[in-house]
Amino acid sequence: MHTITVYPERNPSLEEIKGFVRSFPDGEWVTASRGVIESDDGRVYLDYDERYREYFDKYLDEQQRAELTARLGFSPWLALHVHVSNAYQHSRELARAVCEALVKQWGGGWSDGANPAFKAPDGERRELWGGKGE
Amino acid sequence: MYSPGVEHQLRQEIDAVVNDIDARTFIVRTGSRADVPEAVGDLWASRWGHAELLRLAGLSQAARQDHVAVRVRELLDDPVVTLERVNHAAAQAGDPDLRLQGQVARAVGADLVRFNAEVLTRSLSSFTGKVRYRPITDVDVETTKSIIEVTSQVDASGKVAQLQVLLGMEANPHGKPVLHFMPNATHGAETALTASGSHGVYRDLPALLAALHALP
Repeated sequence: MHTITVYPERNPSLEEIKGFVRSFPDGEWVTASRGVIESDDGRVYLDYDERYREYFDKYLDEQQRAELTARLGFSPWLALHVHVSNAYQHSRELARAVCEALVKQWGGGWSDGANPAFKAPDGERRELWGGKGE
Repeated sequence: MYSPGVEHQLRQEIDAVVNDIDARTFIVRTGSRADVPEAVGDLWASRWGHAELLRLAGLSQAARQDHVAVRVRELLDDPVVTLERVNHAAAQAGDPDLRLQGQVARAVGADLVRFNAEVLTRSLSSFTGKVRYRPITDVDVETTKSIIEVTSQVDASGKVAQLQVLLGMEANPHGKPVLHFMPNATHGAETALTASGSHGVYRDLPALLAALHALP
């Protein structure tokens, strides 16, 4: 599966994200930290990652951290990972709608892990990022 | 996917006999999957004839969901259908992630157990009293000895959390090692995933196959 990561500016609580997922007609919270949202021909999983900061500090190099922080305008502590199911044709469209709704509600932006977002030239990078800065 | 008109007809036939939107959605969505070729989608639709729908209508809501869940698994896990889904996926030029997943499944050959399989959990809604089957994850490729997560992405952001789901009891009751096929993975992604329990991150098929053959 492909994963898009949303970095909310105002950190929502787990309960708020559960409510967000359940606000979709076919959205349900299914594990301790994961929800699923489905449409007629799309499916995404949404992970609430309160340990993202550990990943940020440990596995991003200095340049990647600086780039991400500069792009977002803040240093992220929490991440919401949107996993795009390959089982349905329009999962990507659903994922984009979910990312947009998250950013609309809590600010921030998202990055598409399929591309070297941190090192892409400016013109390309704009296409890799959603939310704040677009 | 279905041939033109088949999905519409299937919806109408279900609605005419079974007054259950959840059951209809469960059935129709299965045949409309991106990895289901038209011939398989049409075969699936043909299995829901009038007699079968009457039988479905006679069941309780919970029993209906259980019945459809079993039928869905029977279809998607059928070895012949699985092979057709794999070949269909591997030919999808317009969907690089699904294509890559199909290519990996094809490469593992006879060791393939499941392809693009959703892990469903049965739940009873406290609000509606209805039984629903909900997916907690998709398993990209499962072999006799492993689970393989396939992605074209560069970094491991989100994949660490996904790995914990794939290592969990519901998705992986036999405790199979989880390998990552990530042709574009950065060194940081590899470090993060192996430190989090991945058996290994592989960037090309020969390296992945060698790792699979080396599994005990």
